[in-house]
Amino acid sequence: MDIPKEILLTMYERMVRIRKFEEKASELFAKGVLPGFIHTYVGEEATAVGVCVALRDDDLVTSTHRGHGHVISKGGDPRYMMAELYGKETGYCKGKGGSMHIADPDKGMLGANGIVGGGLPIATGAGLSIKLRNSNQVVACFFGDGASNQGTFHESINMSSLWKLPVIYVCENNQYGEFTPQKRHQAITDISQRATAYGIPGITVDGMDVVAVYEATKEAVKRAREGNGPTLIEAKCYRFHGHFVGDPQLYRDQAEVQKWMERDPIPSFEKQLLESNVVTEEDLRKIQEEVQHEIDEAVKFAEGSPYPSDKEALEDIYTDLVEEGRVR
Amino acid sequence: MVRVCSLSLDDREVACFFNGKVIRISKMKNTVGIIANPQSGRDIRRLVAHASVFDNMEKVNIVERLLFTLGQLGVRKVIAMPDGFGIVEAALYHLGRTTVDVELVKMPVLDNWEDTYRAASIMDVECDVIVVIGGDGTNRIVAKAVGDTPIIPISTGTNNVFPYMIEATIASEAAASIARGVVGKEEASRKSKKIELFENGVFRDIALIDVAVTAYSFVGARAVWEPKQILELVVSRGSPSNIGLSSIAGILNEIDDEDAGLYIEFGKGRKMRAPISPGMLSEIEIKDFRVFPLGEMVHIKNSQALLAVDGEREVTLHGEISARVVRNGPSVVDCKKALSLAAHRGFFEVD
Repeated sequence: MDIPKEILLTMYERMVRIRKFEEKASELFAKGVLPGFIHTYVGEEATAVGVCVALRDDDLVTSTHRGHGHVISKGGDPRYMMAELYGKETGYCKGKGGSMHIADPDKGMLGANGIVGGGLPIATGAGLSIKLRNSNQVVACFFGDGASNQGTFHESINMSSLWKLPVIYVCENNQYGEFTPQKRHQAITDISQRATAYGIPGITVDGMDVVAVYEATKEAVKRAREGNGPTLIEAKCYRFHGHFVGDPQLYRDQAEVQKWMERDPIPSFEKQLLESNVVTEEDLRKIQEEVQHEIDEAVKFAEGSPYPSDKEALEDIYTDLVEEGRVR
Repeated sequence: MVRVCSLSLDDREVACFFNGKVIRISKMKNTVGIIANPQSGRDIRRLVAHASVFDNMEKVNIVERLLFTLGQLGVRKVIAMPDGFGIVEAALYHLGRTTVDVELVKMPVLDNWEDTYRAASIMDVECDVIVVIGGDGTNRIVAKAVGDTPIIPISTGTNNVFPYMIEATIASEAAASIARGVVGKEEASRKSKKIELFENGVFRDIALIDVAVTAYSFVGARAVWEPKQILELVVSRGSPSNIGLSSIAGILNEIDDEDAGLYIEFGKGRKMRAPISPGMLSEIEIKDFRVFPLGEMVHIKNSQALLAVDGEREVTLHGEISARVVRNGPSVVDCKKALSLAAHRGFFEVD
């Protein structure tokens, strides 16, 4: 698979953007500036970016409680994201959703979701919609290893395989379902094996390698657009930080964390880009500086934005259909 | 009736009798190694090429049949590789109890190729024969670690050339006949060929079946399934009945176990189709090819290339790249031969 230089650079830029956004958000949360909870995507950048860069702009994505990486990978704007984390009116959800509910329909981002496994039926429904509308889009559905034990996983993939829906189920196997290691919550190591039960392809890829994820997704997208149905991609990756910012992580050994951090997807990709003469070190430094500037600007934008008025508290909560009395 | 029995002279020495006469005295450990790779059978070929999924529970079943049969045939001990899935532990759990002692190699489980390498290195010293459950990639790692200890490679997928499809019961009968000293290692196994890779004359790596020089820039999803990405190919063997890159060689000029290899250059020329992945007959174009004898250094035309070894993108070499085929790969047991000898010597007789 030949990957054009602009795609490779987009991959790198988005991975760096996720990392810098998350580092800044963690810092602000630790200072008590941001309300609520924050679950960072640090360490898993290659998975979201590898998947989303293989999609078209009009393709759809469903996300998880750890959704910042998915929004950025699909082209989301860090300013509106940061404003949402601050609870400001200029945020993606006008400050009412916070970290775990960021959505951007214009970018095909159907929303993060605080419910483990909650995105699976949404993606499946979106897949059905695409099929009925014959719009030739696809949906990428992100979920974790913990969610693969939920009924929504099995029910969604069963329906999706039966109806040959254009959904790519992306299991981010980051080795932990919240605080529980995979070994303690399921008797298998490769979640991709579960595809066999539903008669669809299931593959395991190195989720720390953006090119590996991209190649696998490209093929799954091709299959979906050709009407051949869903694919289950398991990306083995690792959450460098705890389940949430501030998690003391007493359930895992720091030596294990260190071992995975040696495989940090960003320096690994930098090395690959440099070795294949795609970029120079100067090019990479420039991208990092530009992204850092963007993130700093995003913080300024969020801090300078107003909080929503208390009069808006009950607005935009339900669909217009409810307000019009057409749906109860 | 023809009778055979084995008598332990000391810890390691075993005498085999045939009609009352000693026919063999060998220093055997009566120990079989088992390496079951939990990672094999998951790659992108399941998506791009309709390859089958060989799940770990099937590997557990294979190990159950191995352990049960080895115990029945009097093997004293099995040394097994531990793994993240717990294939051998699951087999033991299902069996309840076994008549053979099962010991897991004491080593950290890293869930990568290093587990296979470390376990194979230990088994090479501790075992008479090693049963390997995996694909070409698993066997390639085992080949790096073992010396003369023979292996029985059981295939766990649809894209393999080195390991063979064999029922685990039959494989364990062959393993037991060797571990018990009834059949000599040298009688029923043969050194396989392997390909050695050099970078500027310095040895770098090995492959068992094929080395493809590719146009890929990144290791990515590892597998090679796009013919346009293959620039040159060196094989130690190839048959039209193979699956994978070596099938191309087999169609051009079949090379089996003879003392030779084949080099292919891709480009404008002869057009043909070959099953380079399961379910995929890909169109390819051959510029040139030639058979070369064992030991001859073949110079690769492309310098600085990402090489796929036994079908997986893995090694990037720079400068002058060369390869040669040597007969210094792992000793592979011919199970059919081992079992014929064992049967002839009364190994399966019951008192």
